[in-house]
Amino acid sequence: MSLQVANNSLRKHMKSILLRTGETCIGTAAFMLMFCLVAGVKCLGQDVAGIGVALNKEGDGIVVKQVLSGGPAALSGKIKANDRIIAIAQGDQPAVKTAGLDMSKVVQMIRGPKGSVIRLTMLSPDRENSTPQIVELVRGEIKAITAAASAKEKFVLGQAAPEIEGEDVDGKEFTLSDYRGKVILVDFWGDW
Amino acid sequence: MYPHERSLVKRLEGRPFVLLGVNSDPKERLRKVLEQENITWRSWWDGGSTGGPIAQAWGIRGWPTLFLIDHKGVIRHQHLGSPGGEVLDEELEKLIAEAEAAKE
Repeated sequence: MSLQVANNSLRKHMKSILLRTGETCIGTAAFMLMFCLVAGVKCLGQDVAGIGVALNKEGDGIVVKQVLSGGPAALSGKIKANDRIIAIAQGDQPAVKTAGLDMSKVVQMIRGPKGSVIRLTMLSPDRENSTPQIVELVRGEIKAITAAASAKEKFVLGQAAPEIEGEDVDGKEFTLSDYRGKVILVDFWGDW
Repeated sequence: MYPHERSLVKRLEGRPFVLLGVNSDPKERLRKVLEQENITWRSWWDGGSTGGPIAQAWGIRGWPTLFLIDHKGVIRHQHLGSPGGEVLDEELEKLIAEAEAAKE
C-alpha cells in the first residue's frame, strides 16, 4: 500500500480518536482536510487540486465518466470518457492498483497539492488488446462545474425536479414533495 | 462543507428553506457522521453506495452534487462539487426572496 493511502487511513483513525477525546477543534481540522481533498477547495492554507475527471466505480474498476473541460486531464488530450484507471502513482513513487479500492480512496489519491505530479495507468476500451498507457499529469485547480458544462446531464435546469421517495437512516419515509413551497437544497453527499 | 451547511440552516431558520441530503454511505457510517458532526437536516439513505437508486435516477456523476429547487419544484441550479459558500448563499437568497414574494 502506498504512503498516501496509509496517510489517509491514519488521518481517519486520528480523527476518530480526536473526536472521542473531545479535541473537536483539531478533529474538525483533520476532518476538513479530508473533505477538501475531495472538493478541491483551498483549505488550511494549501491549494488542493485535481485533474478534472468525474469517476464511477464499475465492477471492480474505476472508470472515467466525464472529462471536465479546461482541467489537466482534458488539456492533456490523453484521457477520455470510459477509460479505466488501473493504477495511480504519486510523483515518482510506485504505482498503486485501484482494483478493489473504495471510490473515496481513489478520489483521495487523485487529489493533491496544485502543481504536484500524478501518474495514471490507463486502459482505453477503444483499442482492442490495448496495453496500459501511463499518463503523467500536473494537478491544477478545478473549478466546480455547473450543468451547463455537460450536455449529457439527465436533468436540465428549469425542469421540474423528479420526486424522491425514500427512507432516512432510521427507516422513516419522506418525500421531496413534502417540502413543496420551500426552496430546497438537495445535497448528494458522502462522508469522504 | 458541514460547517457552512450548519450555519446556512441556522441562518435561514424561519424562512421558506430546507436542506435535504441524499447520502451514499453505509448505514453505520452515516449514523456516526450525523452524530459526530451534529447534522440536524434530514437525509435519504441511498442504499449505502454511490450506485444507489436515487443517485441513479438523478444521473449523479460526482459527489457532492448540489441541486437548488425553487418553491414551485423547478430545478434552478446544479453544481458538481461545492461552488463555494458565497455563490451558494447568493443563489439561495434570490430563490428564497421569490418564495417569500409568492406568499405575500
